Amino acid sequence: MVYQLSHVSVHYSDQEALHRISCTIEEGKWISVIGQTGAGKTSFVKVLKGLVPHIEGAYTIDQQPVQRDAKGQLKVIPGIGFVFQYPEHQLFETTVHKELAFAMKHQGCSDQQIMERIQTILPLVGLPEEILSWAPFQLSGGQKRRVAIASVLMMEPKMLIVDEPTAGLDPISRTAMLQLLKSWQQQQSNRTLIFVSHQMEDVAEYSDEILLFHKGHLLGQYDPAVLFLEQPYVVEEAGLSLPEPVQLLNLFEELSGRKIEVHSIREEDIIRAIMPIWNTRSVVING
Amino acid sequence: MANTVLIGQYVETHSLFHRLDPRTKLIGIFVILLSFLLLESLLSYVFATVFVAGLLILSKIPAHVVWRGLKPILFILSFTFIYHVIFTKGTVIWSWSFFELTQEGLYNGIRFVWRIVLLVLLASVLTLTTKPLTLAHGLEKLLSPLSKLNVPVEQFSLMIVIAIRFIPTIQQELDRILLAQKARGFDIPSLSLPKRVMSYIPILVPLLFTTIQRAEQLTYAIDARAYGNGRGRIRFKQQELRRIDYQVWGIAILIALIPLLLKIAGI
Repeated sequence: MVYQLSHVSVHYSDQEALHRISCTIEEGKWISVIGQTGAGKTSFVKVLKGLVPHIEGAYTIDQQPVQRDAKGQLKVIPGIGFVFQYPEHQLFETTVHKELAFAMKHQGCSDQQIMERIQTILPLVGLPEEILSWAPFQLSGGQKRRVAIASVLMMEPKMLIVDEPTAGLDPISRTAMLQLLKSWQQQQSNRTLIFVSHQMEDVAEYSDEILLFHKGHLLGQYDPAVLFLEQPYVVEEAGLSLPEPVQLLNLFEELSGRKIEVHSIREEDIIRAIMPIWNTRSVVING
Repeated sequence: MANTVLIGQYVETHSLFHRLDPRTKLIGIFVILLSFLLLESLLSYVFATVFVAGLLILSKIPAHVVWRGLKPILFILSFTFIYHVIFTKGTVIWSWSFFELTQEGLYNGIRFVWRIVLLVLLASVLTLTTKPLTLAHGLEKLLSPLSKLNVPVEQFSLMIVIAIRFIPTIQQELDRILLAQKARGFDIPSLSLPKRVMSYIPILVPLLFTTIQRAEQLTYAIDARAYGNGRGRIRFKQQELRRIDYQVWGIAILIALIPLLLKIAGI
């Protein structure tokens, strides 16, 4: 599927939240949306899901304009899952089972179908089956967030939008959450993940593409290595910092006085590239 | 939804009423409200209408904002009018089956609806020109003599301030839950009224839960700032009565006397 926005603008009261955004999102990718607070990231992903009723410009999916209701307002797009910030605050059913079944029940699915889907989703998000009878309020913060994500995955979306999914999580839960999202995205080649985040390290580690926002404008759609290594000034102009591994790489280049070749900006690859220089330096010190 | 709640209707128009001390507005409007309960003759109604219209013009409140404040009470107004028209006995003007339209019923209906509109508009001038928190502080100052009788005036004021402050927070929380449901394919506002009412019930559970959680956190935060110890709180912005406030008090009392005098004189 190809999602295409063309000159899309969004206004809230008198304020312009998005200014003439044009971009194409192709399936099967992990696409990160970055920018300072108030840059327009959340507005952009809400437009993708059809949660902003009035937009200027065109939004097409596979070259077909998205559906509008009788009043001309954008309709919610069913094939896209949306996990909001702090999704654990939005759990409202009395049991985890009801919470997970909520969307499918309103689609008219049978109990059997719902149960089958629950059994495939639970292992994916790393939750045991016994919690199905628990009240969502009995769960820990991390578990609640997994339940909230699972309840969205129950609808088998082709695209999943996650708005700062790791905010407020401890380092171990954060890594587990990112792994969960990665494994969901990689299960099928046509799954797309839209990842809104302030954590540049996570963005550098997982992204196939980056959409950079600044004050309601889309500054560009970048390959992560190109953006962070070749055009770091764009990131800084947008008020963001470079990922820590990239900063380390830059420091090593500055101290050693030579260009270090890296194949990707993943932490592991950068460490592998700088280790020979580090080792050489320690030999000199020891000698 | 929040825009229709009267409490959050403050409009910044820099009028004379915006600059007045909240106590002046509270007392002035209260006294005039009481006197409007005495409205009887057509002349007194015309006087009150001209006065309220003048007040709204002086306070520079846009007409659409005034209309927005009246919209929620349209049902009550219609009900009041129909009630008086149906149940007041008197000279019959028109009848159909058992229903009789009387001259007195029509007169009473118009009179009561007119009075309610005047009272609501008058009260709106207070809420439209005074920030809720300023109003709460004004009320606290007004009631402060009662603290000598061990009435917890300061705590009462704090409760009002917190309640006012929590309204937009709860509204935001509700919007967030509704949006999350919409994203899962369940759009409550698009449902029919009975289904919509039933759908709101499960949402109230998490809403209540998070509100209680927030209230508990707030209690700790208030305790952590040593609230309740020492000589009470002082304010950054002091409210002081100026000359204009005393002048407005005088005018308010004079205005309030007019319906009373008209009633006594039988005009």
